[in-house]
Amino acid sequence: MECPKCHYVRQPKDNVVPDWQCPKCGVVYAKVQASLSKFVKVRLASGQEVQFSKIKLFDLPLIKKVEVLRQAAATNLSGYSSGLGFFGSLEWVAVGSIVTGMIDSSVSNQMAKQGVNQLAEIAALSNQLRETAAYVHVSSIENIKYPEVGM
Amino acid sequence: MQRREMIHVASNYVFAEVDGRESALFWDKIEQYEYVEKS
Repeated sequence: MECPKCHYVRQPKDNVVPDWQCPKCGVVYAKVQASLSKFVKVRLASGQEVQFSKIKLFDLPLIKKVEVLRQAAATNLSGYSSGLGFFGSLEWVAVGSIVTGMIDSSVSNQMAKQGVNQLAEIAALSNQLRETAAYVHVSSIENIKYPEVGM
Repeated sequence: MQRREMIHVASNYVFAEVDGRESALFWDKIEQYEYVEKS
């Protein structure tokens, strides 16, 4: 028997370990095989086909909090150009601290200052988002057949 | 066990583990999406 996860081949000396479990990595053979049979297959515009069985999940309440802050910051900072034109994506959140530094030196009114503070908060929350994100097997994600695009 | 509310789509892409590495797959670059369950 070869482990579907670590590919260790079971030896006669491994009799002390139950035959349903890998003596090397400890996984349950049947469980791994069941999860390997469930995956997502995508074809990219380039023609490349990709298969994966784990997706990184992010904390939804935290994302919603960031979104609210982002909209408020956009309103407060309207009229200030950061040169970064991608409000609406996680990349934007990632550069929040850089943008903060850029704008901080050039603003004077109260709204803009509030916007800068909101950007700093977004930057901190984005770090928290990354730290709390986790990979989850696709078989345990509800509605994986019907991904909701454009959150 | 506490159930956390999580989501896999941040905006326009999804992070997936492909061949043991993290990959960002952009939805607008995906032409076909299929969830496979082999019996």
